[in-house]
Amino acid sequence: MSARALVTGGTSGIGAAICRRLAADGWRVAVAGRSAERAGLIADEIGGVAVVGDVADPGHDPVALAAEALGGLDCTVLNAGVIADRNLPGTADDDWALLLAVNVLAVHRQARAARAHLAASGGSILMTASDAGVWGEPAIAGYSITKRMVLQLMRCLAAEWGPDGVRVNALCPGDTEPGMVTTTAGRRNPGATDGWLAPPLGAIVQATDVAGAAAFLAGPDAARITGVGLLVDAGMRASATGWKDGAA
Amino acid sequence: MRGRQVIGTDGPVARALREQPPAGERVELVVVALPAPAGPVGALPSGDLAALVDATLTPAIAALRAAAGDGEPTRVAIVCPASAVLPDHRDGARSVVAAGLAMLAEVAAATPGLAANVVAVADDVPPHEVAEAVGFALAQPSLNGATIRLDGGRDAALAAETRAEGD
Repeated sequence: MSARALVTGGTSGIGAAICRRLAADGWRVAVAGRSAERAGLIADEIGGVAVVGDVADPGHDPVALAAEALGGLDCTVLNAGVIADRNLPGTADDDWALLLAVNVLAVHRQARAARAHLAASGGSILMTASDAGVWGEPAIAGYSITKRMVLQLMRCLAAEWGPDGVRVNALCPGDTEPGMVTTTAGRRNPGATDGWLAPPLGAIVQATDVAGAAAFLAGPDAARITGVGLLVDAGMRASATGWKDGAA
Repeated sequence: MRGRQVIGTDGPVARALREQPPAGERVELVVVALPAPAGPVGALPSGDLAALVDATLTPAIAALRAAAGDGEPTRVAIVCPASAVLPDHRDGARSVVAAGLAMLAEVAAATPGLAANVVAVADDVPPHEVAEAVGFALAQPSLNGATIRLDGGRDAALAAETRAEGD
């Protein structure tokens, strides 16, 4: 029987790449997102199922919908997130409320919903945090705060649920194409990486790179890996100055 | 304008900080975020986690935002649970919130007009020790974006807890 995964925020950027990669690896995938059209398109493309709704809505339970559609879950990828291009003085109450609701509280709620399914299957949770959660970025202050919280949540749940056989890990992508830099309205245009800071490896991280890391952490080769936040940033956080040396 | 404002969780630590004279010539803002333990975060309903954030981190963000916007250079100290650094899954809810407070200080440290540090304290640290550490953090011009851990070395290494249990 194929392994079964739910991917929230699965309709664009990193989430869509994870859906495609897991499907290519033989997983059956529930593609979750707010847009029925986009979720349906990707689900049709990969032979998966679409789960439509807003993760920030406490009444929406993508975990239950996916588990019902797939007959259980072996991995829950909690990837949906939002960003606000605001420094600390510019972070309004509404900005913070949305960042908290989507990036932290929804992840917490859906992780809790997934626990029983994953304990039954010996599965895992994979959260999408950020390199900004490892080393904060003042230009996206609220986002950095929520992603640090996600990393701490991941570690706590890894220790708490490890005895149930549930692994919990996180991805910490750097600037990724396509990713939040280009898929969030008002930021950069898709495909336009001119002027991006060059990481030490020189090349901008691709969503498929992050998906590869996700496939590893979700798969059997990571059976003894839990409580890990894996940077996929081409070295952006390896040094305080390495990324300042030039534009990509 | 010299002076200190202490906000957040009321209790012995906040009182000790209010009684302490300002550490320097700049405006000082001390955020005390020491909620009661809330247990493992995986067992906590999300509404309760939200309430914990609303009682600690959200007002801290608002206070630092206001301090950054008033044009007066301000030194900030955030007092939070020691699990901001190394999480404790048995106290996971506070660990998550404390981690957010630590990142708040880090981004505040890079914000014009603010210098911010964290004093991360274990529950059994005497209030006067916390106040002394806060005074130090507020007084050192080059200390910015740092976390001072007051836990007696509990989290210094894995062996620390192992040794304590084995002795």
